[in-house]
This record gives sequence, C-alpha cells and structure tokens, in this order.
Amino acid sequence: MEEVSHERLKSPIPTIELERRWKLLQEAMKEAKLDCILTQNTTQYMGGYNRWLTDTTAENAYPQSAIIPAEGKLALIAYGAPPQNYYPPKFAVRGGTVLRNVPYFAPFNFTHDWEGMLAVEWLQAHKIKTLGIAGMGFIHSAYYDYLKKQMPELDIIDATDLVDNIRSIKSEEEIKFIRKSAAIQDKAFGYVAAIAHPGVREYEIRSKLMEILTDLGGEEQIVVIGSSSQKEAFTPYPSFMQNRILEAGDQMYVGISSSGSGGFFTALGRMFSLGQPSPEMEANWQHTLRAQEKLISQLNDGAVPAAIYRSYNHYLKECGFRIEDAIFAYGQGYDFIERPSIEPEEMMVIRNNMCMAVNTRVVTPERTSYCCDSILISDQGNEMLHKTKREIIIL
Amino acid sequence: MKSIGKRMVIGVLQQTLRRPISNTELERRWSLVRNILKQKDLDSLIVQNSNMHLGGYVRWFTDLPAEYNLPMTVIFPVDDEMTLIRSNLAPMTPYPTTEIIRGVKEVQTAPFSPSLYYTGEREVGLVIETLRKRGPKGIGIVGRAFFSAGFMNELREAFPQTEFVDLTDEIDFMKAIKSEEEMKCIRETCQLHDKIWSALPSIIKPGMYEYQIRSEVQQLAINLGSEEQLIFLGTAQPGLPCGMNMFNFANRKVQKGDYGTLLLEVSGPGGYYAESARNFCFSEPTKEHVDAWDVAVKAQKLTQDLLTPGRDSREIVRQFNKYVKALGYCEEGRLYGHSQGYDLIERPAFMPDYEDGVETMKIQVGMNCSLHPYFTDDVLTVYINDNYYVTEHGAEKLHKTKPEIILL
Repeated sequence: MEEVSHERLKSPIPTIELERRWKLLQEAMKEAKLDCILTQNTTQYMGGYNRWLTDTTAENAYPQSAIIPAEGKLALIAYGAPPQNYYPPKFAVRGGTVLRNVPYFAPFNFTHDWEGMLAVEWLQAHKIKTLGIAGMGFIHSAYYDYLKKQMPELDIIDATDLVDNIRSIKSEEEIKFIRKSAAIQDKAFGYVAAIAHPGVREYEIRSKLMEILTDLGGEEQIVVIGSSSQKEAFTPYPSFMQNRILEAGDQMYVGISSSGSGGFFTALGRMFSLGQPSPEMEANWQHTLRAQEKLISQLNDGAVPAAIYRSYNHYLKECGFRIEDAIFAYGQGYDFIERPSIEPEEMMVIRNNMCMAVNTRVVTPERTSYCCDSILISDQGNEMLHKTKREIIIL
Repeated sequence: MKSIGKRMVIGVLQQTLRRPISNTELERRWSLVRNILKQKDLDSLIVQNSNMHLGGYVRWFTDLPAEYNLPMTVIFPVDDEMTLIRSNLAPMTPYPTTEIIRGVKEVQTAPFSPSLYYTGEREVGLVIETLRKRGPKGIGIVGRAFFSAGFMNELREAFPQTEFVDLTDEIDFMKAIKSEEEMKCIRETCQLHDKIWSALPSIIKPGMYEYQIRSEVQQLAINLGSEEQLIFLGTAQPGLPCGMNMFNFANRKVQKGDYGTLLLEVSGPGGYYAESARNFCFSEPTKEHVDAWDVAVKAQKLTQDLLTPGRDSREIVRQFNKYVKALGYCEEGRLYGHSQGYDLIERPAFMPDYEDGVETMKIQVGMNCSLHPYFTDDVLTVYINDNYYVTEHGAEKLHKTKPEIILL
C-alpha cells in the first residue's frame, strides 16, 4: 500500500507501520475467534485506539469509531454531512473507507443512536457474530446499548487486553516519533526561564508553552503547574486552577505531557526556583531524584507492576514520605496514559521497548518536590529520553 | 480513596480561579433541579463529563470542569449536597484550602483512567457506594453519550431494582435558558473574540503554517481569559476551496495571495462558549468571493430575524436552505446553528430534517445561539458565524466585529 502525502498532513506514520499493526492484530483476532474489533474515541489526550488503527484521530470531543475485521479492510465512522468535508478526509485514510457521514453529536440526545446505527449497518452487512470492543471505558453507553438492542444475538467481548498487549510495545518507527516528542519538550523547557518571573500568572506560562510546543510540531498538550513560597507544600494543578501570580523566591513545578508530530506522547517535569533554592528545597530535590532512580531501576523487562508498586511504596514509607496512591508510572504512546501502569491490579508485565512516564514526588506535610521523565525500557539499560538536566532550574 | 469532607457554601479564592460563577447562580440551578427531582419522585441525579469542550453538565452543577479525558461524576441528591467522584490524577483543590468547592458534601478520588481498563471499577465503585447509602428507587441520568458503557453497565447491574430515568431533555432546557449572570460571561466571551479578530491582520503572514496561526490565536485567547479552545482554519489559493480543517489537518503553508477561513469556538471568562468565523485574504477578494460572502451575510440576517421565541429550529434551517439554494449556493445538511454555554454545542440544534431523530426543543427567550452560513464547492469556501441572544423583541447580535471579509 502506498504512503499518504498531502499538504495538510504534517507527519503521517509510514504505511509499513500501519500494516505491521493490522497484521499483528488480525492474527491475534483470529486466534481469539473474534470477527472484528470496534473502538471509539473522542479526544487526542486519549484517542489512541483510533489513532493506532488508522493514524487519524478524534478531536474536541467529537467521536470517531474504527472497526477492523479479522480479515479485510477497516471501516471508519465520524460525524459530518454535506457541505462540510468528510472526516477524516479521504487523503488521510488508509486501509479502509469512511462510512457515510451523519451529523451526530454527544450533546444532542436525538442523535445518540446514529453512530451505532452506522456500526450496525456495517456489522450486519459483514455478518459479524463476535464483536470485540477495545476500551469499554471509552465507548459511549448510548452507542453500546444501541448495538445490544439492534443485534441481540451479537456476542460482544471485551478485547481491550488483546489490543493493549500489542500496542504497548513500541516499534522502531514509533520510537523515532517518541524521541521527536521528547526533543521538542526539551526545547520548550528551555523557554520557561524567559517567561517565568515575578508578576506572571501560571496560565501565562502554560499558554506560551502550548504555543511553542505547537510551533515545534506538537499536536496535543497537557501542562500542569504548581507554585508556592519555598516554605510551603504545594500541588501541581491542571489548567483550570493556574491563576496564581508568581512571586520572588517562589518554587514552581511545570509538568508537560504532550504529543509531538505524529501524535506520540512523552512527559517531562522539573522544579524551578525564582531565586536561589533554599537548602530544604535542594534537599527535597535530591530525595526526589533518589526516588526516581529507585523506581526506574526496577522497570526492567519481565518485571511485574504489582511488585514494583509494593517495593517503591515501601521505600517511600521508610524515607518518611507519602506513599503513592495515584497513577504515577505508566506507559505512553498515542494516549498520554497507557498500560502498563505501576499498580497492584496491572497484569501486564514490563517489556523492552515500552515507553514509560515516571512521575516522582516527595511529599511531607511541610515540603513537596516533583520530577517527571520519560524512559525507554531496554536490556541495555533504560534510556532517559530527555536531555533537560535533572536539576532545579534557577530563574 | 480520599474524602475531603463537608464544605460550606462560601466565597471562592480569586487567586485560584480566573472567573468563578456566583453562589447565587449555582443555587438557582440547584433549586431548578431539585424541583424536577421532586416532581419525578427521583432520589438523585448523576452526570458525567471528561473534558472542557463538551463538559457542560458537570460544570453547570459545580462550576468545576473535568479535563484531559479524565471523567468526573456528579451525584446530585434531591435533599442533600452533592458528591463528586474524580480521578486523583487531576487534583482539584488548592492545598490545603478547598473553598472553591461549593454545594458539595464529599469529593471522592481514586486512581482511575479510561485507558487503564481495570481502574474503571474503582470509579464506578465509588459511585455505587455513594448511591447505595441512599437506597434509591429512582435515579435521573443525563447525557447517555457521556457515560462510558463500562461505567453504565456496572451501575445498572448494581441497582437492578432501581429505575434509571433519562432527564436529559429537562436539564438541557434549564441549561439552554441563560441567566443574566451567564449572559454577562457570554458577552465577555464575544468581546474576547472581537479582540482576536482585531488582532488577526497582525498574526497571519505568508510563510506561516496554518498550525502556527492556530497556536498564536490560542495563546492570545488564553491570555485574554479563555479556558478551552476549538480553532478550525483553512487557507488556499483563490480559485480553490480552503475548507474548515480540524487541527490535525491544518498544516498548509500560507502563501502570498491566499485567502482563508478561521473559526473561533473558544470559551471565555467562566467557561462560557461563543463562536465566530470570518473569511480573510491578503489581497482584494475576487468578485465570486464577494458575491458569495454577501449572500452568506444576508442569509445570516434572514435567519437572525427568524430567531424568535416558540419557533422550531428546523424551520430556520429550511428557510436558510431555500434562500441560498435559489441563489445557487449549497444547502446546509449538517448543523446550521446551535445554542452554546458551558458546552461548545448545546441544544437546541439547528439541523435539517433527519428521519432518525429531530430536535424537539423550540427557540426561547434567553438562549445564546450561533448562526453559521457555510458554503463550499470546488472553487471557494465562505464561512461567517456569530452569536445571538434571543429576546422577546428579536435576536440581538453579540459580536461587534463587522460582517466583512478581513483584508490582511
């Protein structure tokens, strides 16, 4: 199959990579006796199933579905109707076709069945008996209910594991994109020193970073920021609560989870000091780095997430720090959070060529310190993907 | 799991939030919902959203958003304060104060993300645990396309004897009618748009990629007070359609002599959306472009005059299509307009007749509606879009930017 080329496409994944995915997945589907797999996504933050299958993505909470049969070509479903262009546009579609568009939107309840209606048309036309769904946490309830109602004889199976097991291990092509994503984050971090000074609000730093990341080819961005005087503990917040004004002597954390050109996410976070860091801030940072090293040293091929979770929390507890109860170390790819995640219920073991975000925090009632890096799991020693030095950045 | 505890309805921290809605406005909404729950004899209502583009339900109840595809669920009991269920990946309260959370009895958090399938049970588990304490006979559900199948299947299984009643129509109608305070925010959003249109000639330059235009517009919008942004744009040489491209297809390099379209669908202070679109060009537009633009402006005015209380939105689309078809331009088959608020699209929808479903909500006083003529064919794309406030005496146009092609 030919490569796609169009002035509106920034950085399509090579067709050979898409064909690799389809082949692996279709083989696994045959083994699992699935006639097809259906996925639905609505955003680029977590639009990974559709992107992985089609290299096209949902945006702005407008849904997109992809159906891949065990044999044959893909079907894509997206909203639209004349005169607006088809989404995704024909020049971007490989390995299948976009089914007829209808204008369905989640806030319009009278259209809730329409996406399912198109899926049912396709499933019935292809005489599908066993349907796998990847991502039961993504597919809308109304969509699922419609499938069940219209095709009561259809055997619906949760195929999330099957897809996750394949997409969690990154190919050589994918790793190239991941490196590019990390590289533009390094550049963006270099800019923070030019804009973060007393009197600036946190959201102004976010807006500039988003602009830079986009200009450098990036696609989607999450920028969390927290700041306080160096004598207080603080929490990094998502965009909605970034209204604080920076003051001289503050400490600040900036964390970016963003996708580069091609849609692959990496994550980078550092502490900043507006003035010289206090000895306490410096000491906390050193604790944070040691915790990070402790965690990364355990992320090895064959390691079991539940065991790493126990061991890491034992370490934090022994040091007198708050134990981890959040999602803190996890795979990344087309989703900003992917499997495996380091926690008790994760059954997927760590494998070489997984890209993982590692968020480390040292929290006591008086002090907080944070750090984040993306790493590539390798037998040759885990590779730190970012070049930004692991030190407090003094502004 | 972490419980923050009982919260008083008190003032908010200006330092943390850029533009909180007032307690009076929140209480107005809660009172409307409680009346409906009592009328329907329902114990509680639940809503869920996961982003700020279409996150209006949770925002309307709490003035707090969900972000980044991480779901937030609101449980609203008929006779008690709310419970919020959030992923602890998205911390919400300034440490250690929590004054921004109003009307909320409890915030429960757990580590969950829809991309980690085994964490879904933690999320719905907290919802089930909260509801089970009340032993509900009937629960109101709003927006079935915002809950995931995994979540809703578990919930229904946990309460086999409970009736789940769809209250989407009722809540949508409440949201659609804007209060004075809400309209103040929406007017400010439109002013924010007007400032961007004024700045546009200094932003777009030959040699830029479309995504660079978008990034500069987005940055300006955020700095002016915007919370979330949907920005579509397209450029082309005269004689070709430029379309209206989503971000991932906005990668063309702008050339001298080009023309284009830009859609600003960005929220402003307090999270309220408006939308506006204009064509722009580097040199005098062609006669065909001017003619098409004039038809679009006239069609928009025609439908503004139809934006009157009690009217069926489908009739407005029919009149638009009749007018533009007679003049040789393409009819609208998708969405000609819609209401806006905390969601970038809200009901009523202005859609043509579809046999599989139709909009039943009529135009009413107090709605904030967008009207957007869009023509595209093999040689040209034209797009104008503005917001209108529906009053007893006609629809008031909210954007002040002139309905003209912007000459860069």
